[in-house]
Amino acid sequence: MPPSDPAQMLFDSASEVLETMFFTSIVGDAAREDSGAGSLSASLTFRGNPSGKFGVSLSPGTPRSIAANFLGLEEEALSDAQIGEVVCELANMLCGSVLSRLEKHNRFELLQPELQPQEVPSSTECNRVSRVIALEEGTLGLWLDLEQAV
Amino acid sequence: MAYNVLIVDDSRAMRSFVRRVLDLSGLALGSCFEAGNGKEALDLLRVERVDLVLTDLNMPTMSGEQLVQLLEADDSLRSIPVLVLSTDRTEGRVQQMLTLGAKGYVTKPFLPETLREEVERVLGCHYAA
Repeated sequence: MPPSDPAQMLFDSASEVLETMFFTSIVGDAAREDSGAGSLSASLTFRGNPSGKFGVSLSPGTPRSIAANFLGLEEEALSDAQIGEVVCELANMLCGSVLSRLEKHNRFELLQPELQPQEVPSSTECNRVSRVIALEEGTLGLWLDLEQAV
Repeated sequence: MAYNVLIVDDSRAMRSFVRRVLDLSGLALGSCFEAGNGKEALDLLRVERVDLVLTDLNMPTMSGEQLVQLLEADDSLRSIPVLVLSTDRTEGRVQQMLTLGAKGYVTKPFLPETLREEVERVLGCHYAA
């Protein structure tokens, strides 16, 4: 049974994951997503009941800051590969958190997260829920595409 | 006694995070090995002395579930305690892994203190006396 407010579910998951393991505080909702050079997106497919896709998008500068917090390293010491790996892990953990709120009893298979060159458009077969959250460092966009039941 | 630990996760970033938590935990750590999937872990466990395995579940080539099953079926490796670290927090999944032989299950995200306490519990139970 889908929750009554999926957007709140995205917010709660972001708060839980970022504050617990990425040592990053959430400020609140953001009016819009900051994109452009330096922004980074990642998405992954999940299979279960329901199946779908999940993705995140971080505003310029935010990926490096979050990666430094997660790995316990100075921002200047991070490679692009390390930053990408952390953003993929963030997407993976957020997806797991969101799905556990969506369905407590159903198991899901999460495929490997992948970095995306640009925002992933919503499929016509899916219902997209999204939310943009303000962090101290920038913004975090989250989206969830759930396949519609046939 | 210094404990040798094996961290199994297909995410290099996650392995680094877990290693950092262990480094800062104050536990008496010996060698800290890493593997990207269950197959790499098994290969390593056959040549190195490891006192604790921390494993993800969802990995390519060989999953954490398969790894736990193969360890349980191997007379020479069955005694090594396994602690699962996973985003999967469905009730059936946790119970299933404990039934298969895992000695603990920590869901991601977790606080560093939670992991440290669980590692101490598993090592304390297993190597007490």
